[in-house]
Amino acid sequence: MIKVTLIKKDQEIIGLKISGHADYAECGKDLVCAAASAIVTGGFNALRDDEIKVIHLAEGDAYVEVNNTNNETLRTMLIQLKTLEEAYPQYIKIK
Amino acid sequence: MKFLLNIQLFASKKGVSSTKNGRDSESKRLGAKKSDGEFATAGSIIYRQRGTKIYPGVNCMRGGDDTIFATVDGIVKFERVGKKRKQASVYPVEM
Repeated sequence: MIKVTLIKKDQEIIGLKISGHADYAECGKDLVCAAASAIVTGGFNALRDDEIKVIHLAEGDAYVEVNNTNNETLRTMLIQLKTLEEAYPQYIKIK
Repeated sequence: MKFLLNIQLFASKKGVSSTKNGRDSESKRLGAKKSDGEFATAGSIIYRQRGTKIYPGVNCMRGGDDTIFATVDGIVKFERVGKKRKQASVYPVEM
């Protein structure tokens, strides 16, 4: 299962940590993993350099922290991940 | 782009199929060492086997590892005994 952890500061979301494996299907056929990979990679690429405080992307482990609260790209990524969670709750969990 | 898309970033690697087979023992070169009608000296091996595919016949004996060997010099003969059994015999050559 993919775990998405919200990084908060003063109740504001300033980052995301995404880790684990979807285990929806074997490697190469894992649709949930593909969706999450596209959302995370696309989102990380959409962030401007001045917005990024910390960023890390590796197999089964992604982490980002931004400088500003109410970051629109972060909010978009979160909504996309929530949409995925709604469709595949057994394979991705946001907490 | 900062990050290239790995579409299976959050897929489990265990999906990569691996086989637990792929092992085999050293072949033991079993089988006939003398052919029918061939001359064999006393003590020479006629048939290497596991169990008794071939039984010891005239002037032949079975070794500890079921090997059939000649006890006299002579010509090797493979004979049928009954419906299913085969035996190897050695018949001395009249000079």
